[in-house]
Amino acid sequence: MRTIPRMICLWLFFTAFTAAGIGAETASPLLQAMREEMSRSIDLLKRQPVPPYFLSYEITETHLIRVGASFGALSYNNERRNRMLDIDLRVGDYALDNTHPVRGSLTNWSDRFSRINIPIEDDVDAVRSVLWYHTDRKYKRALEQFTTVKTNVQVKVEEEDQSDDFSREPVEQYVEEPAFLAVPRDEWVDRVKKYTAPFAKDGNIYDASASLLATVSTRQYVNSEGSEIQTSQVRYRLFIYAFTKADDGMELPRYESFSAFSPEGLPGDDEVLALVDRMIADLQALRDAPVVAPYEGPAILSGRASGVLFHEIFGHRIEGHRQKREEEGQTFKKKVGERVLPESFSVIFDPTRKSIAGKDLVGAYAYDNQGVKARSVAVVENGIFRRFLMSRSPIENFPNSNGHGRKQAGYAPVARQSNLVVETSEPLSRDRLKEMLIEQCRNEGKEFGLYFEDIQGGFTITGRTIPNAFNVLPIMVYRIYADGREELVRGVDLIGTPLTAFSRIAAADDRIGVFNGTCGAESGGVPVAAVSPGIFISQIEVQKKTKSQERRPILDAPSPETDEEKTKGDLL
Amino acid sequence: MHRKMLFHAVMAAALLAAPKIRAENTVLQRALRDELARSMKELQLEDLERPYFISYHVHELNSRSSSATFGSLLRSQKSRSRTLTVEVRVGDYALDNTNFRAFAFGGTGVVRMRGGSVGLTLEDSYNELRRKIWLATDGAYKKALENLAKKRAALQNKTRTEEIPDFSREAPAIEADEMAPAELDLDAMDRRARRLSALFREMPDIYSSRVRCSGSNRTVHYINSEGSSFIRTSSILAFTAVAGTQAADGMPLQDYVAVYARSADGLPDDKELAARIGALGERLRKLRLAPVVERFTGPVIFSGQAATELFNQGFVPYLLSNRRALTDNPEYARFYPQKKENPFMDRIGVRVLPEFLSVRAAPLTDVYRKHPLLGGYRVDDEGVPARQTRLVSKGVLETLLTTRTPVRGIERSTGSRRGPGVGPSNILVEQERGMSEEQIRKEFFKLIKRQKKEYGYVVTHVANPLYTLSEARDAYYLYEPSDEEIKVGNPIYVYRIYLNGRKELVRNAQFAGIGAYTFKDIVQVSRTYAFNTVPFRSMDDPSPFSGTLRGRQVLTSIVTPRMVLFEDITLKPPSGEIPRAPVSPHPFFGG
Repeated sequence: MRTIPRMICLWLFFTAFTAAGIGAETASPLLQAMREEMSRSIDLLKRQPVPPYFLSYEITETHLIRVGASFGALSYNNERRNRMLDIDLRVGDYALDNTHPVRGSLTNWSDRFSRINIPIEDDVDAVRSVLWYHTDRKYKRALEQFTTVKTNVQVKVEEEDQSDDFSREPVEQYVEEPAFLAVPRDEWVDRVKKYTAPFAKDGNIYDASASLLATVSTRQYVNSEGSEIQTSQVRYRLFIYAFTKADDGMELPRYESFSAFSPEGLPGDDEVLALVDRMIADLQALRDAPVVAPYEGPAILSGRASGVLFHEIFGHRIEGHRQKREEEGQTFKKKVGERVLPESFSVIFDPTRKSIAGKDLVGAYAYDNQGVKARSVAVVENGIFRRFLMSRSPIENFPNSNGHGRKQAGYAPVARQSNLVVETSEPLSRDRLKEMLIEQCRNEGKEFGLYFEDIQGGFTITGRTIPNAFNVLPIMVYRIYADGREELVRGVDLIGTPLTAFSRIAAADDRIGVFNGTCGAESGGVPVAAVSPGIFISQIEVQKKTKSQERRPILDAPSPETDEEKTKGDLL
Repeated sequence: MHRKMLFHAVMAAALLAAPKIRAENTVLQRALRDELARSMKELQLEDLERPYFISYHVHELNSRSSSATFGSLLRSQKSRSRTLTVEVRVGDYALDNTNFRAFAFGGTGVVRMRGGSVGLTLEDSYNELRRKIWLATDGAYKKALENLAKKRAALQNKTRTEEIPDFSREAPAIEADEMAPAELDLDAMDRRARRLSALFREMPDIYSSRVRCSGSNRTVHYINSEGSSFIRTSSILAFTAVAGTQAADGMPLQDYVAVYARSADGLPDDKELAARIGALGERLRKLRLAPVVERFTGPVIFSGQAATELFNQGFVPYLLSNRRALTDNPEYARFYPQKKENPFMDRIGVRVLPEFLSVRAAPLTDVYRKHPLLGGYRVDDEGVPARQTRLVSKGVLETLLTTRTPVRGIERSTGSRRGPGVGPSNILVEQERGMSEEQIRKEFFKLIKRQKKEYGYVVTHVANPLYTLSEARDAYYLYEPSDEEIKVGNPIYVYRIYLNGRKELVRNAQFAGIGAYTFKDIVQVSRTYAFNTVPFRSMDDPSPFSGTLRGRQVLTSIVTPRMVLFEDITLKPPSGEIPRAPVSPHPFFGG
């Protein structure tokens, strides 16, 4: 295959973080080292025939603690601290520089991804020597790229979008005190063991794990335009997973996750253990649930399911840089000012919002990865599409960033989502949505509609070479019959093409759901949230889930060892 | 050496015969034994074949690692893991599901397995261990059935030109190969990495450097359905320093220091390591100023480290047997790069070295000529007791190192399974009628004169690709085509020696045309010996989908004559693009 399909996914790696309190504004020795080495490099490289016009350093320090258990036994208990360096060095000018896409050639992944470790101690000399070494390599590579870019621009047809390669943005100064982790690890070990032990009761649950994760991510950013930013974010997460298999081999998973800014924000033992019982019951019910045949008809999506749907079918298609790449589908490029949703709907991306309805939103941040201040971006206002999510890569009619240039450490940033919030000005009750669904079924002569209660995530393809489709992966799906009866079913994925699916969204309810996850795309995994009320869609389509061909185990689960057996066998 | 051999009982017992001796009875071993017994007795899918062989291999790793640059820590990490690898065979010893590659994506089994392996909990919970073992066995059995069916189908359309059994028969053995675990002190490693990496602050000629201290204790528990079992514990402590710079013309230069030991006090002390790092810096400093090598073919001496690396990289790989697996669809063969068949398989009984050289693998030898050897073990990873193997006698190839996977002409295992594939232990290249080093120099000059040359070369250090400054991890979307010739790393230090005895360092030399048959033409060797210990990456199936791509590193010690003289070796300068020297000076050293 010549082109790599651009598949972007929202997986269920839930996380949460918060901006730590703003303390005394003391620039760390690290920030100082970065600033000094940057200005030295700029001064020295100025004398070169093709000097850089922009240079930025970002150092991401990650400190994480992770404990996990499986069926009541400890699987891992570890801690890691590292610092990664990202350098953005540009030659040319804001209009045309070395990062300009080269048409007709494959993406060079080494230009989009690098892994440079920086000392984890604040030794200015050691840090500067690593900065120097990699700046030099990056500069030489930029020169090579720029030569290729200039030729490519000359030999290929004119590009549709003539925008600049880099936008001019205000200089920012912002320093947060670094946050620290305080984790009672022994207590955490006990908790994950306690949460996974009950799954052992059911011999048909083949995997059951729980993990507790604490992360501090401290980012330090300087650029040659004068910006200096230090942010520090803490997140705690509890994640529980179990899966079983139906007789036909279908794998049936259940996930639960909680994200919080503080350990106290995670649920207590009683709540978690009740949930574990619920998961076990759900898995048993799923094993016996009937398989749904491919179907099209009306459906209700819970707030969480709807959030993921919006993230996939809409969110990824309004990421600014996709509007100028010639291989992208550009679904919404010409839709600015047009109605895309019912008038009662608005869609906002708001990284400044840290929680909603008592739930933390993991897509929150103060500054993006290009030093641009976070802000709320109203993308759809009263049903009318207004604007794109922008990094510092301008597109036609949108010359500036709106603080959505994001990435995982080690990757080059592009426009990415933050906290997606779907709002409605006419919230109906869930019962009303159900009535609408039943009415629609009657009108179309359908026996039932579908209710998507929980999902594990989804993915979408935004390119041109492969049909531009999305796929949402549900876990708990119910048939709603005309008489109001609900029946758990299994084996379907929600699929569709973006514009059709969007045009069928008819109404929303008053039950707000929050989905926190990690979104993976070309700039790596970034934490995002999707918030939405439940919605009614007049027509959706489901297809059969990919099904494991692996049978259930041949032998029954080994019977637990008794105390008597423990002592025998000393003599073989 | 703290090695002690506890039991060694060889029995011609039937399947699962119970030896009448006390075995270790840990929770893990009980779980392995109980699930093995149940699986051999009951595991059968409908009326399909039952397994004729099952083995469990549990690898427990407890490691610490600290790395630093310029006096400051880059990483400091502890890690603990426990991995179960299950092997299930259906069919029989002559023809089973192995030595066959079917095109398949993804993991297998109800629990996700990568290359037949699955993670176990760190805690000894009998019930949870058995659950994992049960599911892993189930997955491996189903995969084995599927592969055997595909393999039989693939064989229907082929005429087999040779009938080599799939699995060798070996006498069951119960072994214990244990040494006291090494003390792993991460704080001490941190301090040492900081202190020794700070030495590069005194070396303005070095552009980039990294120092790493690491240590690990491993325990392997093995049990199979033939009645073999073993426990093996081993420890490795390592210290490495890698430094890189560029010559004035931009050509990259890199060198390293690496030492290994079984315990922390087996490593040289800080003073000694500092001296070695100092010497490394001094060598690189001189190298920067040296002229680039000119193309040359003629007399070359490999001396010291260079002699051991030449054999290690250029000759030892040919002593490892390999077997090309059958594929169900040749269309997909490119996804499964296989090594070329080892040309030495056809040279058993044929001369591969001069008659004054012999080679043996000595896994049971822990000290040789007062030097510790670290590649030893008492039992290999298939439960086969280790033994000495004569590989080359007076220049003639006798056999290759093998596992229980027979190859053409070699039916039995030499006890050389190390991790996922075959690997060397301690390799001893021994000479008869060797010369003194002085005589070697005389011979060298004679050859130079005979060839009417003004000079020859002495190579003292050869690069090993395992030591590099590059931080790029093995990229997941790339895999190395293994169909390539075995290549020897570039020489780092090469001296041009004139007939009048004048010695001149040259840089950036590369070898051309060193291959399996180069070694036959060794003119002379010294009777002195050089010793080296290097990591060896044991690989099994290099399929990008199998998950075992990275293999497992084991140590091998290699002993060779300290001076090895060749009549005609080709050295050449690098070709292609050469990077530029740094645009700006180092921030610490200025300039």
